[in-house]
Amino acid sequence: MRGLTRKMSSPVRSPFRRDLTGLKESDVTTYIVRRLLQSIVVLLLVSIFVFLAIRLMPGDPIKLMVYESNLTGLSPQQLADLRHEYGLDKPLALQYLDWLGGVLQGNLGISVFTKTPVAKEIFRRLPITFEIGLWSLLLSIVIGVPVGIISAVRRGTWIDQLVVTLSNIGVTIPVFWLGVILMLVFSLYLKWLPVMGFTPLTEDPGMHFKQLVMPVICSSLFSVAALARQTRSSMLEVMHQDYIRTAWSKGLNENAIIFKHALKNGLIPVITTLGLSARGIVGGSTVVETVFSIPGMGRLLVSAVSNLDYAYVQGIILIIAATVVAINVLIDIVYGWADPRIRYS
Amino acid sequence: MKKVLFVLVLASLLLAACSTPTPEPTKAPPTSAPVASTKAPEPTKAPAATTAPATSAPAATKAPEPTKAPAAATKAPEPTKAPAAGVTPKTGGTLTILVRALPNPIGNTLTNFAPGNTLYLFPAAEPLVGVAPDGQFVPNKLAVGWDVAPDGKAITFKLRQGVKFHDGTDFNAEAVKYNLDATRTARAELKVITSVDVVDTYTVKLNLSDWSNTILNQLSWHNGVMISPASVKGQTAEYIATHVVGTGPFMLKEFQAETKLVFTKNANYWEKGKPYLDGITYLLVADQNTSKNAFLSGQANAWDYLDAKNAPELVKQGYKINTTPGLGRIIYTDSINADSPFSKKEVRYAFEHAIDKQAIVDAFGYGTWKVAVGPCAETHLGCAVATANARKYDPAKAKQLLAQAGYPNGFKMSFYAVGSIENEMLTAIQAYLKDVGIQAEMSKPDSATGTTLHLEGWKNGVWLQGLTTDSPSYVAALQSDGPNRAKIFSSDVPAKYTELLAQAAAAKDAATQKATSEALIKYVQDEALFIPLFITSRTVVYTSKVHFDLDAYSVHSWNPGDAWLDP
Repeated sequence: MRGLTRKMSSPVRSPFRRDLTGLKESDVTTYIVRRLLQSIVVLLLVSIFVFLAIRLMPGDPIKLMVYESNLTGLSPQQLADLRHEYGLDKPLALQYLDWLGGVLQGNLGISVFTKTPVAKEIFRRLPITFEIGLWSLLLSIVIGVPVGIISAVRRGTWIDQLVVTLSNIGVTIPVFWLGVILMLVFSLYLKWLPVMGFTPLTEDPGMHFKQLVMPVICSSLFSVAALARQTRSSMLEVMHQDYIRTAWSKGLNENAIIFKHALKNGLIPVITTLGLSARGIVGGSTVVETVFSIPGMGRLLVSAVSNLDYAYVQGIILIIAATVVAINVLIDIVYGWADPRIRYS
Repeated sequence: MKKVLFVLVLASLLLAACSTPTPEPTKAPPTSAPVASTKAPEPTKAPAATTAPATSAPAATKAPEPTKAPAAATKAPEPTKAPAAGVTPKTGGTLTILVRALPNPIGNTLTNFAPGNTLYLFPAAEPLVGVAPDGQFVPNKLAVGWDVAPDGKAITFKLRQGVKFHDGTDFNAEAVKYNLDATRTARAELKVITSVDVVDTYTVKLNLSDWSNTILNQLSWHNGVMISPASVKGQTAEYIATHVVGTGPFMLKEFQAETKLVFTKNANYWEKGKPYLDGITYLLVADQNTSKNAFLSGQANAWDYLDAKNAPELVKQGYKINTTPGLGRIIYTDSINADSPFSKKEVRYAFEHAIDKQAIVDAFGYGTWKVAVGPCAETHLGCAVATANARKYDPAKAKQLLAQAGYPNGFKMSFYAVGSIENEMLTAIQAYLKDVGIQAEMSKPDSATGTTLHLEGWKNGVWLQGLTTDSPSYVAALQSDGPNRAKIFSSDVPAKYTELLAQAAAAKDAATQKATSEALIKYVQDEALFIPLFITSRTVVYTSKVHFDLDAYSVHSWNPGDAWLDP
């Protein structure tokens, strides 16, 4: 919401006054450009913070690699050569500038431990995490929002009670537990789905989608439930507004009242919730990836931090940060679309 | 009514979670199932027939023969594990094995490779020296024989002829020299090799500063693995890190870091008729529940390194299972710090007396673990000598020793453990220590922090870690995991220990090896250089269609070329 000012002529505006959006195309363009510039600053700050934070952790990657690889016979000179090879003998500022220069050229660095370019591994895993995240987000929207609307419109009925109960379960159920349940039911009893793994779409489309089903269900459960609850809550608030009552009394069609007049005004909190869920698209879920043995970004990040693999940690966090910043910009823009009272200044 | 229905659905899901389905295992008729499959093992008792260390573990009384007669070289190599009489190995099929860890990177064995991952290289790359299930070194790999000089200062290997690397280049003495020259300067355990001479195309001589009876052990593992020099020379670090070009029965087809390793049949393998399989695939599965479900659902033929707690249930379901000794669990103290309670021997003794090892073994080993009576596994040469002075569970004696050391009211300390140790076990140990007045703060540092503590030291605390049991050689175990300030900075390494270790490593004949190994064990035990707890297990489960010798060894070895599957 930073960069936005909310100008409200009245506590609640009627959507029937269509002439008051106050939005000009040039305003939006200026706003987007300004937010993008701010994003670059944010990304630079994040990169500096991560660069320094990982180096504050106890340990020296060269010593760790030597220890784990049992290279205990290396001489001090050989160790110094290794340190030089990875630029770890330079002052911190130079190390950062070297890394940043590489990033601008698409090179996220070389891992001390795997001796391979980290960008290659990150971009092998990113599409996997991205696909699971995207399907989960879609599922959240397609199920969470309509269910929340139905629940609000049918408040007090058995449908509402069912939605409230299920969404409460959804936000509290542990993902790893759900994963095991799904495996038992769909893989061991019904034998419909494979327990684990990831097969590229190009290799075997059938297996690809089969292997996605359970991880996507697990990844989306929380956001489906959270979205349903949020949508229900927002809709209930809007449905009690005077202008909706007026619409009902005018004899307007139910669908028109709900979808044309009530839903858009109730979307702001829903969009916020959706934005928070969207961050998982690139960050991945370590739990889901571990339970279903999927080589995604979540596991890679945990492993990198645990090993003090500077290049991987910096690269992964930069990509996650860039995505989160982009999503935030997008959400801010969508806010303006959903609620014309929010003006770009 | 709908609510009731909903509750019923939920209840059924909960029930499903609490019970594991028993899918039809792809097993042979009951007559071929292991004996234990008809007798359910009790959690606190050893599943007798499922764990057969007597047949699969190296015998403690058999010393490795460093001066193995060259005559062995002239004898045609026998398959390590011959198929049972009347059973003809079938060809074809892919063996899929679920594992907990995979090498990352895989290829640069010459410069950067975690030794514990060597097992996963063996389909593609072979060592110079082979190992028999009883721990003896046999010339069934790339060396067809070896001869030790009378003064022990050299060992000459005769190499197998007609062997080619997967890239078509010849395996010969030059290749051996290239590989050993690359590793001997980087690894402390190979420093004993001063130079490598090419005698002729198929003869190579290793010149040693002193005789070391662990040299064959080293050359049967990651240090002895031979990679094509042509595949490494002139290549980028990335290429080397992701490719393995060896002489093995399979070739590396696909390597995905922390995901999978796919090997495909090497049609030009030197042992004619092998391999039987079309390929071997390793899948990394970090979570034990996932592994179990994947194995039960048929996504894999075998599951290696499963938790001992899963074994009894799988035996009941008729799967083949085998357990060999796994890592020993030992505790290092910061005995080097003069102000640490652990600098006093009485405190180290008290620590061992305070913990009821048997109770922990019963509770967490499911019949597959054993109490370490001394600072060794019973498979280590000479370990029996430790029995007489075993420090048994005796809290009263622990308190008395603590009082003698000046800690009548105990003390506070840090207890570090590697991540694979069960939290419940740490809680149990913490409770035992509390009983004698020691307030232990338990923690499991991440990999980087743990290694840093090892390298830079810790104060007033202990580290629970592993002791390898992969060979009968106690010297080799100590060279890998024994007191060494380069690896465990805080733990004392007395000069006497170094002297005894050197003597034991230099022993030439079996009798001297046994005597020096016993002296070493006794010294480590008397000085409590580390505190032994128990010997864990390495368990593998597989369907009855699988025939391999992965179950014949501890962590050290296996022969992928011998593996086959029933159709």
